[in-house]
Amino acid sequence: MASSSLPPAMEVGESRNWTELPPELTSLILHRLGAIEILENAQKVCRSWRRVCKDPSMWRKIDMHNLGDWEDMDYNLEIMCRHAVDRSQGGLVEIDIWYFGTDGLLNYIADRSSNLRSLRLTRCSQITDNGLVEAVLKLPLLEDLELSYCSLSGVSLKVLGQSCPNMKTLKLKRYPQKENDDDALAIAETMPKLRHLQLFGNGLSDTGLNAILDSCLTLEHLDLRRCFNVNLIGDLQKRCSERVKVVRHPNDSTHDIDIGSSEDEYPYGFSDIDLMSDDTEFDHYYDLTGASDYSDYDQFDYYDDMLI
Amino acid sequence: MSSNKIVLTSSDDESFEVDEAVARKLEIIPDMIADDKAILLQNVTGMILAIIIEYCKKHVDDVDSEAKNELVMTWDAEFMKNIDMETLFKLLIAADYLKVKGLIDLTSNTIADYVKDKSPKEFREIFNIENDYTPEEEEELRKQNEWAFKDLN
Repeated sequence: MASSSLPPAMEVGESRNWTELPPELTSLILHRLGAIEILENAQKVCRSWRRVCKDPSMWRKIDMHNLGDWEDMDYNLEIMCRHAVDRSQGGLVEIDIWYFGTDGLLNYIADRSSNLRSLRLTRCSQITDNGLVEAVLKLPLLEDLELSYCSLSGVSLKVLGQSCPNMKTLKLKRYPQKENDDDALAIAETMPKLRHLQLFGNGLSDTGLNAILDSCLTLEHLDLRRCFNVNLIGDLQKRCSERVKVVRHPNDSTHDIDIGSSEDEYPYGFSDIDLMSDDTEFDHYYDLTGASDYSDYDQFDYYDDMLI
Repeated sequence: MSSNKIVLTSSDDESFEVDEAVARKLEIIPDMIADDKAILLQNVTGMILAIIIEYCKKHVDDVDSEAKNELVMTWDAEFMKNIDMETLFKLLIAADYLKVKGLIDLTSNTIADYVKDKSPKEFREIFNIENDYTPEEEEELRKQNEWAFKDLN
């Protein structure tokens, strides 16, 4: 874990005692550290901080972002997560899980958090399609769903859409698919209120895209990076750019996408080459140097997602 | 283009004349602006108020719903970089009192970024906090961390 640098040196003299800070401001600062650090470090500092760290308001949004290294250090993140959810006392609205988690955990969360609005799962390889569906059926208020490299079939995506009528943001990152409109058609059929859609590595074709454009009339942001079965040219491109404010093309640069590894480092062996299935027809699609087409590319638009 | 000016005065009698739009970024102000064009901010010193006003001038045209662009974010980072912890503390409290939302978030995030990955002991050093746990309580805390060991089942 990287260490951070300290602020400029203070003048010698009276030093403020930070426990004098109002609890809600302490909470604001500590929350930014993420659930793991709050539980492991912050709450052990002193009694008043422990009180702040036990308050349910601190646990309305749970960020368990990590680089996969806590598991290596023998921490059981599943237990930690359950504990975090307990502290929310039913008030959980947003949760972000990386590199761990089982169907059991997901359903533990769903059973206790019927008000959940936002669910983000990245590389949760043990979570199954069935487990995910079972959980989502208990989360009718879900409006923001992000699944990166998790198991989910097109059929299940449809069930998901039907259970969550308020879905406004869907981000689905897949290992590259062959031509396949299952996801696109499921979305078109069940998620009419979508505002932000990201399909990364998806197999959708022009047909799927048109279906989405037909149904999702409030779409404002459409990200189709690495969806190489879509030909975003001519009329289709026109249709997209007229209907949707921000469009990311299949060949646009992906340097700003946080997929659990930096450009140079792939802790789980995940690389542009490893990405693909056994099918070698994908070989020629991979532009490893980045984007060739910057026409709609506004790198700063992605910042709002990354800052969360 | 003429604009209304408001005079903000700190607890230690330092006065700052600013455009009304800038003053309104201190969301506590609208309640105070009636006919009065001079406002006394009793809980904020001149030094801190100056910093806050500088932030508000830069952010006067912000639209809440829009994501901040890269230039503004760079400015914010630079702006925070040279402020020491003691001042950050006072700034956070003042920004909270004056209800300058963007600055509250920026300041608290800056502070948090300085203490990422720190141990409890390091926290105490940086924030000048005394450890008021007894050794028994600390041991108890350690044991309660049931996640600290991988599942042995």
